[in-house]
Amino acid sequence: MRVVLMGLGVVGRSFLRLFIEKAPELRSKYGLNPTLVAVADSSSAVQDERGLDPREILELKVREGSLSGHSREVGIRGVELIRSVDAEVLIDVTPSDFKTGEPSLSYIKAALNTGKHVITANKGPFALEMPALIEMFQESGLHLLFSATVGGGVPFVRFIRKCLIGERVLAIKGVLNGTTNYILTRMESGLPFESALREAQELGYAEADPSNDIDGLDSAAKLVILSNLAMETDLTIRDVEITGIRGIELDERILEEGRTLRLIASSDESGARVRPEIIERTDPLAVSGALNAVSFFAESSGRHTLIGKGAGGDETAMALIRDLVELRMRLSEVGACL
Amino acid sequence: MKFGGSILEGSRDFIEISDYIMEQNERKVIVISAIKGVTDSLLKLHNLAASGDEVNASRVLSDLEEVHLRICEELGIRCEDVRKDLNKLERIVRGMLYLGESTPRIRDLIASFGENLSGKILAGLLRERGVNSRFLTGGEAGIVTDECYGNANPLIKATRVYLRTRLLPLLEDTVPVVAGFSGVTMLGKITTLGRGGSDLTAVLIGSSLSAREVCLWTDVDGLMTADPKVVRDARVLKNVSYSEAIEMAHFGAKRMNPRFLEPAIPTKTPIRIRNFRNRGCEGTLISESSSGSVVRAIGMKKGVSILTVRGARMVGRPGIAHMFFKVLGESHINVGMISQSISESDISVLLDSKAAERARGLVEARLGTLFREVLIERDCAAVAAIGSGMRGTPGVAARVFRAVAERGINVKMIAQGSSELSISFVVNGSDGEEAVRALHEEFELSKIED
Repeated sequence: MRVVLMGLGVVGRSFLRLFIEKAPELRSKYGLNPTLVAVADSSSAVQDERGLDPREILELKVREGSLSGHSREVGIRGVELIRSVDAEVLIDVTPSDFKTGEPSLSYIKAALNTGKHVITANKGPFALEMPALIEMFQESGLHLLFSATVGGGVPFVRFIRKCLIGERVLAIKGVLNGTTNYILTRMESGLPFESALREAQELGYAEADPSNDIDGLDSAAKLVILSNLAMETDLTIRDVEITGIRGIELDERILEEGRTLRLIASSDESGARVRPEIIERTDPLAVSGALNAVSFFAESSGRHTLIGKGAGGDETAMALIRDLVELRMRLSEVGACL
Repeated sequence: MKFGGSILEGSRDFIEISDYIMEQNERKVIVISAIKGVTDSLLKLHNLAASGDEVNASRVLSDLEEVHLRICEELGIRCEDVRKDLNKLERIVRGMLYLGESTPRIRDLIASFGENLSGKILAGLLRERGVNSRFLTGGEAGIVTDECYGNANPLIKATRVYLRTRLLPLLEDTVPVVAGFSGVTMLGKITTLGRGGSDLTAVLIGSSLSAREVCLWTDVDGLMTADPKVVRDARVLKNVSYSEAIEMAHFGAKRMNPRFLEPAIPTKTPIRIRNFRNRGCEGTLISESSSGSVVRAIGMKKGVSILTVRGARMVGRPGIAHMFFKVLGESHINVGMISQSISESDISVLLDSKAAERARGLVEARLGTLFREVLIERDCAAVAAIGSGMRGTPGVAARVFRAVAERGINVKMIAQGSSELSISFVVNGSDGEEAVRALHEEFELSKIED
């Protein structure tokens, strides 16, 4: 399988590392022998139809911060590169943008229009156009895999697709953003919001511009994805009422009463929303630190709650590898995959 | 709201429509058809160009130019974008003449010009009169379709997402004018939605934006209990359900493709058909609910024939019906009613007269050994009594057939789907009108409901 990789940030580099490490296992266990035919970061691109050495690329990127100077460097970028390269699959690990979905949205569409399957970790396009993207890929007979977009650490997407199959999910409620949950947890020990945010940034949980996390956009995007999958809604991020936690204060009396504050994303028949809510500390969603938790309320089997690590580079990269294996199985019709 | 081609003839119509749009204070999206006759001219132009007939193609082209530019001039609007479109059309036609050939894609591209031209004129006029208006093609508005050129199907989820994304922000301060009838494929190629495509455009937009109502302005008062030329006291139906409207769309003064109703059903978007020339009449509201009476409307179609295949060899042999219909399907023959008796010794289908003659020849030639006889009964009329209230009501069929029997009319063929939305039967062509009148009277359809 020939692979185009777009993006070499934290996730992209983790992916290359795993890609190298797992290559023998992927080959022996699944007969999967992926070849990197093009790789690009935000400023440079390399291409070789006979296959690029992932080690060389990773070393160069880590050493120089860019791919320029590689013997296979090419002048074309982005959409043009995706269009011109012959490959079976695009792996997109560009950073999420919730206003425009770019550059990912254009990359995904370029892949769609040139007959490439897509595996993506980017939430932006899904937040904005998920129902449309899924329908267009189905119409074209191409696969679009996105388990890395939400809960890379805990396989939420596969839980819905495999474990909840045949069930009707009536509602979803969850803590979907590790950064805000870390901040709120720290505020329980008396830290004001600003200090907790700074601490999260120092520990690398929060980015320099934390808006997507603390304003609730990241949670809303994940909610859109989970809700559309589990509840067959056709939401986009515009349909979600969003209140973030920027500058929030925590009333100590709440803690004394055995309750706490969490940024809760929920979807049910009355709509979808992200907002700070006061919940019991015994609630399974009252997780601590950078954890994520989601409850699915199923019609017959009741509440299922999944708790796990919020996604970092390695977790997300592993989700991408899982999607790559699944794509291979779907294409060769091995195994009953959804 | 959508303005149909039947009410778009000259500059006066554009003024009247823009007056009406300016009177309405609610937020709205306008969908527009091509000016009356323009789509037909465009298709003719396409055929002429494809066959390399330069003289006639140029004549049709200059006629089209004249029609549109004259309206612009009469309205006193700057019409650069209209001129630009006409130039583009001319370049495409020149290219085709040069090559002397065409593809379905080019045919759709040419056919889509009509709505673009009328839409640009209307948006230009609205701007001239101080309304912040913007023209969008179907594709620009967000209609994404498959690649079935000439009769494309919208990708419904994608279309909903894109219509919302693009039109909702515009609605804040703009009156969008959207070209009906056309869309784009995922690759951005222009497609057309087939007959009644502009109605489909309007309903797609209305249901995606959760509109209070979709109003289809045309030149008839609405759906009627029967053809007023046949039944003098036929009247307009105030309310019909989606499923009744699908049955009725086949008949009536304005034959509509019922496909346009589909997107409205899941979102329960009400659709109103109204007469722009008679705005006092409230028209027909198509929604989830309908009134209680059993039979709501009587439809009739003339110029049809019954084709019957018969033979003892058909009995007890699975696959016979498949072979028969396969022959019809492969020859693109559209089948109306279907009936087979339990003895399995014959199958009858109702076809358009011309198609029936072709079908007889084809079936005899290809399946002659299978059937002892292939019979055709010409000059028939199909009559349908329509109403969702007949579901589960005993005695409707008895009333229908007693009413026609009392007028001495012989029934040749009967069909009722198990959804019980209508009862259809076939009579002699000359008895058609009388059968419609008999049923209209029997079910007292001239009385006002509600």
